[in-house]
Amino acid sequence: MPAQKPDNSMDDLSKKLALQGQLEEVRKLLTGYDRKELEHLNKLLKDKEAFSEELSHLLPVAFKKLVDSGGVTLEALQPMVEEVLKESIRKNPKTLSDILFPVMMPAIRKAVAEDIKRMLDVVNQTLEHSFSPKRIGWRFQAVFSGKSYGEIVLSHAYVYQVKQVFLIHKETGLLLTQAGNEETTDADLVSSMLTAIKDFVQDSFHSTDDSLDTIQVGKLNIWIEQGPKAIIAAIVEGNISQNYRILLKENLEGIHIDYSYELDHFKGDTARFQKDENLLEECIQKEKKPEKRRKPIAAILLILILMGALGYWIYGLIDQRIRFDRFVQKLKEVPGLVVTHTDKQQGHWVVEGLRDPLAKIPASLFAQNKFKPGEIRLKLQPYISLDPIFILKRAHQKLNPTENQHFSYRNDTLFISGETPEEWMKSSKNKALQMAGITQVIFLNAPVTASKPDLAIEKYTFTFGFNSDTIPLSEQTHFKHIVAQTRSVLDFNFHNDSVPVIVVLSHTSKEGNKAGNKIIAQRRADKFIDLMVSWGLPPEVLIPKVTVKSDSALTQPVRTVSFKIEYAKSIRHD
Amino acid sequence: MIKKKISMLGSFAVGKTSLVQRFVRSIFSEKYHTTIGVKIDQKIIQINHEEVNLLLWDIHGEDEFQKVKPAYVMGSSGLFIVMDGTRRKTLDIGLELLEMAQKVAGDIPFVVLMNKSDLKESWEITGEEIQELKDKGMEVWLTSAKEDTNVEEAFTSLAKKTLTE
Repeated sequence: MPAQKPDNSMDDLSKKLALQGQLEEVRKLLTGYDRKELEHLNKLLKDKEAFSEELSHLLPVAFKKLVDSGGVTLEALQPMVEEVLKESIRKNPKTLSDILFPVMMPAIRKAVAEDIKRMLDVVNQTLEHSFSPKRIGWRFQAVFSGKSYGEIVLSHAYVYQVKQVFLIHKETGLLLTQAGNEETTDADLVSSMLTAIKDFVQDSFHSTDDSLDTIQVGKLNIWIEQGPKAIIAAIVEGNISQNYRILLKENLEGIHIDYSYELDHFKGDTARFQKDENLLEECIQKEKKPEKRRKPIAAILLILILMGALGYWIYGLIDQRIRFDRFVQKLKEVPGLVVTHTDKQQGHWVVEGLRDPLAKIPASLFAQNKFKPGEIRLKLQPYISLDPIFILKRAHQKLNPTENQHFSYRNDTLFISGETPEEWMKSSKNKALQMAGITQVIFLNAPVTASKPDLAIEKYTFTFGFNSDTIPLSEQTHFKHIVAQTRSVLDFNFHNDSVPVIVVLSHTSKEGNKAGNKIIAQRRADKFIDLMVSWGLPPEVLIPKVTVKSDSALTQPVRTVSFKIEYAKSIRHD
Repeated sequence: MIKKKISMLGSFAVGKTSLVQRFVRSIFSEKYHTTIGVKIDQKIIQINHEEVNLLLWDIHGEDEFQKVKPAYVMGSSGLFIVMDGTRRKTLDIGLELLEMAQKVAGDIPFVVLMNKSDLKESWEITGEEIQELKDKGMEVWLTSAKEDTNVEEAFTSLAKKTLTE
């Protein structure tokens, strides 16, 4: 054994190798079939690429299990995911845009197509009715109401009522909740049937883009808006704006966001959706058509007729009053008539007053004022008028003068001129003095030859304007000469039994209105005498006299006043 | 209230509509009206003191001219596979429809209704075949819409299943 010492190291090595081989054998025996697996695992752990690939299969499943078990919540992951997304977009926006492109483009196309469709609908509606009688009527309405044409169109076009809105679970067709004024007992059936129709359409026409938008049932339109998990169906009566579809879309999107979990895990329990009363409230809309207020044409006509009748009646009253006042005014102008009271009694006008028996009411007075004789009752008491005209008339009636005798009256004095026999003078004087208004009678007998001063006054002539009794100013300058000459005449008394009198002659024509001419002529003479009296001449010597003759017979022009000196034998009543 | 969509599937003239009418309105008519498209009815029943509103989708019967649209079955909580005991072929069609429905709606509860039990003497589907279905774990009810046999029970059973599963 010691002789073998130099070979010890070799032996040891051999032994070690032998032992290692034995160990390997033992290991093989111990690990058996798992050995290859272990080698594979060992290799996998060392090869990062291969290990990552292997993990990629496991991670999604492991992550799902983690989430399902509640080990991690989606809310907890959300910030992390958002950060990752942000960072990714920041670093390379193109990657995300490439990812989103297949999703976004169809969505954008669909949205644009939807908007274009809506716009076309509006344009179509507008064009369809642009030249219809209804639209033309609306244009007139806009002009007269002061509103814009657009407002008028809207007020007519968008009168609608959303009667009911259903929220339907897309997959099962079950009604999740509903809103509306009319509770439908068969809402579940309606929802299911709508889903069936939708399915039928999609299946029959191989449509993939949820194309069933509207169903028309008589007057009702069912607007359907579909989302990935739920459907909104609105039962609309009338014409509603296309904007309503946007509202439905927005609501549906909101529901998908708010109820994402419930929609995903829906097992038939609708309580969660029905709890939210406001879920679909926004979709219930209505616009009432303003009630047509019928114009009360009959009432307006009746009022107009009544107002017309009332106006006519008032006009009649006023007109009648005006005519009556005019009639009374004219009546008051009639000489010998005095109106004391007017009234209306039992539908008849009544005029009360006094009437001289010699006064004549012109028959034309009624007709001129459009009155029938019976319409106005005249209650006139007889009286004696002291109007000079009537005094003279009565004097003529009582004294019965000859053609050569002339009567005039002034200041209670009756002047009688012309040939007056002594006997007639006596009887006439007595009769005249018994008459009302006469206290003195003066007879103007045959004239005495006048001296020169007498003639001077007679050369003056004063001319008046037509229908005027005003002494012209231009003529008044001569007046002081007349007064002075008259005084000298009065002082020149050469007959003791007679007195000089100044006869103021007022000349007028009997052509035309003879009575009127006579009255104005009398006034002219009276005015002249009043003026002379105001200059201090005694009134008893101033005698007015009107000469009415045809134009050709007049010695003086018409509308003139001249003077004549006469000598009178005075007979006074004591 | 819980709502459940129940689809009635089966070959034509197996009695789907009659079963629904019997269950919902307790009526039966001898007159046959083929269903076009889908008819939907509802009935509220009490299951364990809880009201369940069953929306019954009576889908038209399948034949060689008219295939059932899978979209109708989508979202169903339960299925009735209706077969006519007097017609052997309705069993095969029923099973085909079941397969289609499960593809569309997933693994949802279903009940097989072997209808027209009032005409049992004319049945082509044998007891063994029925047993075979039961052996596969299917719940099978022998029903008669005409004589109101097992209709209520079958619908209640499926309703319960939809609530538990």
